[in-house]
Amino acid sequence: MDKWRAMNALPIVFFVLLLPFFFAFLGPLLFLFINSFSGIDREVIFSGISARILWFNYSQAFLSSVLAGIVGVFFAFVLCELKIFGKKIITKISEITFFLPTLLVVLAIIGVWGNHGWLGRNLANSSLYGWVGILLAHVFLNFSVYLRLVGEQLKRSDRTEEKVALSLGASRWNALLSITLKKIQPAIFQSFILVFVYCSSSFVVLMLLGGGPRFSGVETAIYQAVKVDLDLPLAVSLATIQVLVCVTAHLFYKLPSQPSIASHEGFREKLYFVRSRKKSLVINLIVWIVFGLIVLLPILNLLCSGFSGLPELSIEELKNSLMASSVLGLKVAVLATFLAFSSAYVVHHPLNSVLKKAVNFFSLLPVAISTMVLGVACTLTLRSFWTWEGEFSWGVIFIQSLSCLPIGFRILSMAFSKIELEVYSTAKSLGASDVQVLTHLEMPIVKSALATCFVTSFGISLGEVGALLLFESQGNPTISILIFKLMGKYHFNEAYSIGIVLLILMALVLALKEKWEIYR
Amino acid sequence: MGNLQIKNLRVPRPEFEVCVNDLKIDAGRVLGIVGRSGCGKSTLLNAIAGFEPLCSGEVIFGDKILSNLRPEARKVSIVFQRSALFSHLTVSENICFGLKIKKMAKSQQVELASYWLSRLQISNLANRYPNELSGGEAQRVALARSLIVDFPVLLLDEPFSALDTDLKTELRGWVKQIVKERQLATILVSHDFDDIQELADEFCKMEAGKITELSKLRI
Repeated sequence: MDKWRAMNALPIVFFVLLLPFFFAFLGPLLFLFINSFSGIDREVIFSGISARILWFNYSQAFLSSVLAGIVGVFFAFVLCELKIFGKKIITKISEITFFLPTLLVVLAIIGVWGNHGWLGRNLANSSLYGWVGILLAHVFLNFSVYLRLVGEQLKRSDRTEEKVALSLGASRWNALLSITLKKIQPAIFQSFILVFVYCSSSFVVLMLLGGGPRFSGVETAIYQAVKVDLDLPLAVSLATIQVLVCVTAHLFYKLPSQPSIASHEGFREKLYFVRSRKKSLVINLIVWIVFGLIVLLPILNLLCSGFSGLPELSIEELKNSLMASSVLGLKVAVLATFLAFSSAYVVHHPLNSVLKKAVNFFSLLPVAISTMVLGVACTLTLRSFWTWEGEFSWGVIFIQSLSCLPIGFRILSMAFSKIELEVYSTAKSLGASDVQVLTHLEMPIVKSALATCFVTSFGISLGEVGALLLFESQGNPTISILIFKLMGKYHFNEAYSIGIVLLILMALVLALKEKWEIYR
Repeated sequence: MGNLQIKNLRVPRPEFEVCVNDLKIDAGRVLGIVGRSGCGKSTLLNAIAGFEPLCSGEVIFGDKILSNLRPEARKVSIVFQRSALFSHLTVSENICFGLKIKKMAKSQQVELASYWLSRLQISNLANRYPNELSGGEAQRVALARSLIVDFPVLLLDEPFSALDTDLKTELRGWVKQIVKERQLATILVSHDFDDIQELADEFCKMEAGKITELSKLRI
């Protein structure tokens, strides 16, 4: 063993600091499993109610992922390959859709497609609530995952094979199907897995657009079981199955042998350009109609309805909820940034490879564990070991921070991986100790990634409702909880107005994120 | 000034073991190492600097066993083919990095930095960031950063390979002059025999981790 590496203690220090958090994360999940498979809840798992919920939940997730895939891959292809009017606007707005709080998306979709919505009022005999609303909202929220991953793959892929195929007489359609599509397959698969996991864990969309028990998903059923029916065994059983399905799906994420992003990044020729003006016009029209109906109109509706409802707003209530959201968001951002930094540091420094893999796995695992499921696991653990009831404010901070960890970890990992090995070696050869390398080199180099991680976590916390609803306190509700409650009481105008405040906050967060990403 | 000695050094590699039984570089002299890609030249330099684990053997400077020390305590400076400048620091901050680590007074840092900046003719670049430099400029900064700390051992890992011929000649001249003047025990690894001929006092050939030939170029 290399002597200097053996003495490098900092990764171990960070690893030790992470351990309590990983235990607090995995402990409740493990306890959930033990409890679920110990015998008493087996009947619940196989009951008719559970089977219906599970069937609906995963079929809507599958269908949503397929539909989001069709829209996302179509947009990725046309934006990368064809001349589209307003390409930058479409790309920018699409990026925003992924970060928009689900509550705002639901509000926006109701505003356009609801019974009294801009377009919905003209559609007789059709209801938004049920399959239509759920699929629309999931496509809105997730098509950008495909757009980003597939788009990046397309942008960075070498075009030589396609050129050879065309020179050998293949039609462009043939080249597209037999070569280009093959190249983007891993990215499509990975996007599908991510979107499937997100849609399986969907709570707000199913709760507000489901429209009744027929459309109850796993997360909504868990919430109902814990908060309304006080049926913890059912919640535990559903949470266990949810963990099993989502973690298995998450494990498949790494399956494609090809990396989703090719290493080659050079000049890219556009092979699939459209020569005819007429065809180009038709494609542009299709793109803008699809984009307009799915994304643009809902966002415009949110803006218009939000500002028109502002006079009905209780300023005091808004002020209090803003304060509550900001305080919670800041606490979450601090903890999530600390966790993400520590994990990324451990993974990118000399340490036992098994430990590194474990940290990497556990840092990305929360993608597959929803805040609701983790909330149930924590509830079960707390109730089993302590006489605990009700509030759990630190639990909310911890659960929300964990849900931000995968994104933060990815941001910081990318920043760390860009520091070349020679940079470390040079600093060491110039006499810098591990702590000095950390403070003089790594921290300044990754500082914009740290800032991005911080604001992203803050933004995610602003829109999160699952953990908050589960561990609801009697104090001031956060903005998202306030919107959720107002929607529950059918006070849509007020909900829209508070939605606009949340939208402005998110816009600020995204602007800061963008600024630091550009700097990085 | 002491000399750098390598005794019975063994460095494990997946394909072969890098073995150097006895090698000595006197102060103020340059040992050139040539060999094909992947023959273990850079591994040897990394082992001397402390970045590669040793199976056995010792790296000694004067009467101090360097191989028992951590890289930051060895006082061995290294210049890589890629200049490895710290992207968040300006040229002058990059050059002063080692002095800042040593906690040298700011005024002294400025004085030394301006000396090396003017010596390597890069004073006009002092406030630029690495991404604003050409390959040759970046390599001069990397050299200045390694020389300013005044360590007695200098390792050069193909530092000229990415530069054009004129620039190479110019930089070789600087290095040659500074090595003699500061009495640095220097090892230069290169693919280019011109580098070796121009700079080295003696040279050796490396094949599959072993030194096969050792010849003197200058006495």
